Amino acid sequence: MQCDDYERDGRTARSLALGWFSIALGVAELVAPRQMARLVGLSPSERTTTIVRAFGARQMASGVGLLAQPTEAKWLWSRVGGDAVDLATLGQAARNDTNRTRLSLATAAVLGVTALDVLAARSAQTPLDEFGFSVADEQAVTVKAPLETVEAAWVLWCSSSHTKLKNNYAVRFEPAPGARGTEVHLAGGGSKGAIREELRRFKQVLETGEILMSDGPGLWRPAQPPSDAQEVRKLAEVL
Amino acid sequence: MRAATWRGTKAVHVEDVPEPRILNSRDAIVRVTSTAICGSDLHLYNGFIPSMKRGDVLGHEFMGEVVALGSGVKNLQVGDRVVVPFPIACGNCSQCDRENYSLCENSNPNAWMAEKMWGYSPCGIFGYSHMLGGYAGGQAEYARVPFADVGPLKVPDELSDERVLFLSDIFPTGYMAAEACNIQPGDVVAVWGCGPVGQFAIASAYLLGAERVIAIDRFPYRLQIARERAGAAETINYEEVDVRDALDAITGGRGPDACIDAVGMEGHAPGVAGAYDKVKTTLMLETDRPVALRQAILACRSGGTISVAGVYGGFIDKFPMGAIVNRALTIRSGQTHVHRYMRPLLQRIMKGQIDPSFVITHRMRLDDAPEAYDIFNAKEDDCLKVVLKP
Repeated sequence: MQCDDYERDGRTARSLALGWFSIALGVAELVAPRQMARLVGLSPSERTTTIVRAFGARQMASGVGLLAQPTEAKWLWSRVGGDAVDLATLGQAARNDTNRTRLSLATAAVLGVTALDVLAARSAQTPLDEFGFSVADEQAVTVKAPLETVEAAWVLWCSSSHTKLKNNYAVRFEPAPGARGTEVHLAGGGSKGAIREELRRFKQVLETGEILMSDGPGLWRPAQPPSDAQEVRKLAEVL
Repeated sequence: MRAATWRGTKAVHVEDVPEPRILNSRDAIVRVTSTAICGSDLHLYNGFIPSMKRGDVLGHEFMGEVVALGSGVKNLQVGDRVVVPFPIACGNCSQCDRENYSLCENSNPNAWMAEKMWGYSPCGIFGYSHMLGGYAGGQAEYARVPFADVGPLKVPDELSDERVLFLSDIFPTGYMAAEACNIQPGDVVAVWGCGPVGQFAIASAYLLGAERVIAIDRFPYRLQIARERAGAAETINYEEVDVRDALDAITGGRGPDACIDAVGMEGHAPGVAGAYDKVKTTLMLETDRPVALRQAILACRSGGTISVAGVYGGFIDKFPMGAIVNRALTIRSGQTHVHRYMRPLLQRIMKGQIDPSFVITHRMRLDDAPEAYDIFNAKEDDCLKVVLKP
């Protein structure tokens, strides 16, 4: 596991899995084209073997691409394209002298994989904000303070230099059940990640009195004591 | 100042870095007098924890003398001798109110990273990746301690560093793991992993009234320490015998009432089970190797408790959920709420009920940190616990 790069969410894992699948299938098609042809119900003629070998090479290309750049949607779409070619070939073969049972099973399997590939490719294309979050719905945080205190603090917060909210946001306050404090619900005003960060800092200032700084804010610098404290404040955007 | 830094997988350097400064009003600066390498530091060393950056100062087990204080710290004074708990906790949020200090809602400035991996963020931790705050660690001459009015514990001068240092992590961690087993009279507790946390889990299970504790490992020297120093009634070397069969025989066919996993994400197992996880983690299709956890779940008596003290970071495969549901097993876990246990455990040390220094096998200089990591990771030279002196 690479430790330098934080980015390893479900998308990456899914791409890697499909990448290894491509490679496994590609190797099988390259090394044993006759057996693979027979497996899916094709008669292993000279011509068929050549086609299966070519498909193997294509699988290897998609596989290597996915393993090298698991966040690139284009490699997933390359698999979808390959699936279409596979399906067309199987459809063509159905007219000839073949093993029908194996052919239908193979077609069903390819259809299943195609569905997976399309889903993965589409999700890889959804844009992410600077924090890597995909959707920007309403965000909320619960602050350990009475409603009136939180409302008054919010007014101060919004006129302070701390806030990074853009215009066009809606905020509402609700008492949390069982004396758990006050819920702050915020819609709009920035990306999902930015809004969550804003709410977290608001809560922190109210509960602890200040915004806590780490030695290596975000991923910008190593976690070492700073030679200049002011520099860390700037990086952590707490000025 | 000198500090041990992470330079990549299996690469620790000791280098000169700037001395820490007060960044927040509730900070303290501590001159480190003793620091230790934790088994969980080896997960960083072996590259299992994401979001490490080249140059990060390591270390979350440390103690020392307060040399500077922010304006907001009223309960400490310059010159105080303190042990620092590894979780950073604000003492103000609703989790801190419940004494769930490792779940502090305000101490991780990089909470968004942890949220992506785990849904919500736990507390920040010293020297343990940017995902857990990006704080410089304590394997250094000096360390900055945020929320110093909440965490550091003053310790009496008559107790040596070696007797109180482990209040920072592994003693409370082993103790909390045993406490989570809800030990009743007559209970048999099995502990997977005889590293330092496992040793304290064994000793703590006895402190909490266990009838017998069974220790499981593959290194004879660790099993010997478990028997002779932590007090384990019996030991099982999993490379020599089948663990399940051995536990079944020892417990008269009932299975242990509670099982403690003190191994975590880098477990080893002989045969197919071990190879399976090696392959899957190498292909990056699984992040952790949960071999001990699976074994503990299947070995536990029906209705028993699995207490997980070992660190897991991400995702595991072939998790025997069927056993948990059909045999009504309870799983308990968590990073240690160290603050909750420091005072009561200091009392136990002062009363002479336990001397935590029994786990120390190596005393080295901070400058020897690269060698120390290497020896500890390879379990060479019968290494169980390394204490470094800056």
